[in-house]
Amino acid sequence: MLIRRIEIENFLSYYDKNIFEFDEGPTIIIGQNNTGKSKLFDAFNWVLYNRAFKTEEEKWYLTRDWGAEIINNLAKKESTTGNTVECSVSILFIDEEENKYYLTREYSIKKIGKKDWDVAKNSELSLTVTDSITNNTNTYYDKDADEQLYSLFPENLSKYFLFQGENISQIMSLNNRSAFNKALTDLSRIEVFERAQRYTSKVLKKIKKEFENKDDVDKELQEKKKRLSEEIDKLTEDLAIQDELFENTCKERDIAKAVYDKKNEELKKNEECAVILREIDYLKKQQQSKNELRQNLLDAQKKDIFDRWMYAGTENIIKGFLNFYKKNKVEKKIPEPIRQEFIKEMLEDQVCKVCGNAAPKGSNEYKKIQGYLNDKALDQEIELINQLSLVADTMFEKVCSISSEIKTFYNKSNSIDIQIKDLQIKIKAKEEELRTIIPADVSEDEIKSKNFAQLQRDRDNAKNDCDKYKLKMEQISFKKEYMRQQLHEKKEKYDSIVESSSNIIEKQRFVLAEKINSSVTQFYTVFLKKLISDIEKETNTYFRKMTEKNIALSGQVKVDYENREVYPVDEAENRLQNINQANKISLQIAFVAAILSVSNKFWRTYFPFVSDAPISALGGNNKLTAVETMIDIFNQSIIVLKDDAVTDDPDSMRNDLIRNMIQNNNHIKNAYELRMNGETLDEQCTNIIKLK
Amino acid sequence: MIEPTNWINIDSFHYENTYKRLCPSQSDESKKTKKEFVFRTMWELFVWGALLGYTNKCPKELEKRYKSPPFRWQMIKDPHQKLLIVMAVENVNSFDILKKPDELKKNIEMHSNGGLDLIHKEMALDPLAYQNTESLIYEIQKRFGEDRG
Repeated sequence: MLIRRIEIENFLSYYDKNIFEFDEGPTIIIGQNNTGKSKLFDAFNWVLYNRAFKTEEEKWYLTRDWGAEIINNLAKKESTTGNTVECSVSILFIDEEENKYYLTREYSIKKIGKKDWDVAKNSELSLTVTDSITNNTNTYYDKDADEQLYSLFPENLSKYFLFQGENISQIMSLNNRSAFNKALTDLSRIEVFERAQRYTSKVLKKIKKEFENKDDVDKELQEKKKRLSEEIDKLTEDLAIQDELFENTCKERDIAKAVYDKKNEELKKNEECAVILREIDYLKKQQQSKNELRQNLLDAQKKDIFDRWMYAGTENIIKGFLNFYKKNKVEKKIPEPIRQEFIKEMLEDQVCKVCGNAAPKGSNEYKKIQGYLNDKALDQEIELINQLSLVADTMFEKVCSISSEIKTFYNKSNSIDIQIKDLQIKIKAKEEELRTIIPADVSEDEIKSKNFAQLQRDRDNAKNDCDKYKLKMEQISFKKEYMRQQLHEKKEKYDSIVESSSNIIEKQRFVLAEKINSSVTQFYTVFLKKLISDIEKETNTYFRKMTEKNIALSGQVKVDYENREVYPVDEAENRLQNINQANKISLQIAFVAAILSVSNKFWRTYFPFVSDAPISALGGNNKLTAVETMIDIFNQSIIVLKDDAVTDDPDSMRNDLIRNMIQNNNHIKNAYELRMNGETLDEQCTNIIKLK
Repeated sequence: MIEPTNWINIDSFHYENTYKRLCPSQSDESKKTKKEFVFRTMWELFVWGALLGYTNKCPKELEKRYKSPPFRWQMIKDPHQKLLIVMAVENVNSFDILKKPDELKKNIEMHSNGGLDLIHKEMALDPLAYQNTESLIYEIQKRFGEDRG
């Protein structure tokens, strides 16, 4: 089977008519949260099985339960009272003989008030089949169309070819009311054997009764026969009760396991997010400290700026001043200042200590020396000029080194800038990593305030429940084994009584009926074993394919039907504990692929694989490997994925692994991106962008 | 010599448009902290302007003196006082100016006024100029005609 096209009109987030084209091989559809990804998955489910998933309630609902809600809000908003609004989904697909099928489901509502609608109870289904050789067409409606559809897309297998990643635990469950057991009936003719077994068992019971009711000549034998028969019946009944108890416990264990998986995943995701948030916090603190370091460097530099650096460029002026000073000095225009104490000393000693001549009191020489006494104005001026020259001299030296000081500053500052930039890149990378794993419905603040201790307690409680049920199952199994042994012994005893019976005809009939019943039971057991073994074999083929690509994956898969579980084992068939998320998802995909592969052989057709968020728990290379494996495994895959890129960041778009894979993988012929248009809730609708 | 208590005259235009913008002032209406201003005091800007005026040889008469000058000569810390005098002596090429304090003060005031004109023009051309310490360093760097490296 190959889906060629899906047409969606006014269905949920899809306004007006929207078309997706598909080819053999993979089609990738990406979109951010709330862009219509799951609504596309709903469209497949709705057209085939009249159901769509209500995310807020986590339940599938039929059209009659959805009512007017199933129709696009904008289409409803635009309609006027008295008018009818219709929604429809059609798929065009072909089978292996190239026969064409065009399946349409329609639903309409009539506006009778501002917010009131007259809703139809059911949707209408039509299937037009065009024969590839004769080109004859046949159209089937409603129930007839449903019947035709059942032989093309058996509903019991739908959980596998319409694969919803978020509900994986249901798919991995093998209890007798599970999707797996329903699928078993549709991927084999096992129900024929089941029916045969029921029939032969009924016949045996009847014949046994006849045999017992006919009194034997030997009264003791007759009594023994009756007593043993009652005991066997009682044991068989008890065994059936234990079987039922086992199945119920198994179901309870699966529910507890689903809760545990959910809690564990939530905890892991939150823990992973919390670790990244802590790393981001640490990097931000480092960035802040670098910013402070930079600011401190600038503050420290501020002193230098106003002490020296602002004189940069004044070298020539200062030099000009110093030259002018020197010239005046040489020309003796600036006399040397003479200390007043020195003058007083010369007057006291009556000698000029500058030229060495005697200066007796009253002489001209003495008067000249006296003239220097108290000439403070001249002293001050000379002192100032000398101070100016000293200051100028000092500053000139400093100004000459400013250039190299600035270089040193820039070296330091650039080094800090590089560190800050490096930290910014790291923060950005961590934030992108966070976006890929952050749960869609959880904000960063919520993660920061998460009570991890409580989450751990919840998870541990779920694990305890799980272990409790497992233990109970083991006890039941043990009890069953013991009862089986007792039953066997009693049956052997009974058989020897049968041998001794004098009622030949009844005895022969009974022996024959028992043989037939035993053969049919054996036939059923062998067939089931073979089926499970085929599924296990196929699972391992796909799992090996994945492990070749990703060395992080390891082990083999065991489909343990007896304990109703699928799990990885090592080479010695020991169960592997605490497997990582990538291993777990790969195992699940391999198991789903195996069931479809066995189905393909049985139905002689390839089921297309349509999946919504199959790997939402994976990120980075593990996610990429998982998508590439799905592409390899399935003849046709339509894979809907969350877009991890930030659409308004070109770097993020360029570096996104899935977007790069879409562009570079030649097997991918079609790819779409979904975006949400419209401002208000009743105007929002999905916009489809063809990427490839 | 210039008396330490002498008020330093600045142009009204620059007081309103340059000093108030780049230095903390009592009448400041912005919510900037003192640390956020690129010049810590008005006299620092006065000296910065004067150095620009001397290096670019662009003295400019004050068009309208600001009626209450914001600081006195003594506020200008050493060695800046002396270095401004060095600039003035070199400018007139005579030590005689030291004997004429009014002329000396006027020479310095005019050069600072001319330098402030340059600062104002620079800020008009580049809104990022004189906005933070880095921009000051960049202004200094430009004088060497070299890139930041």
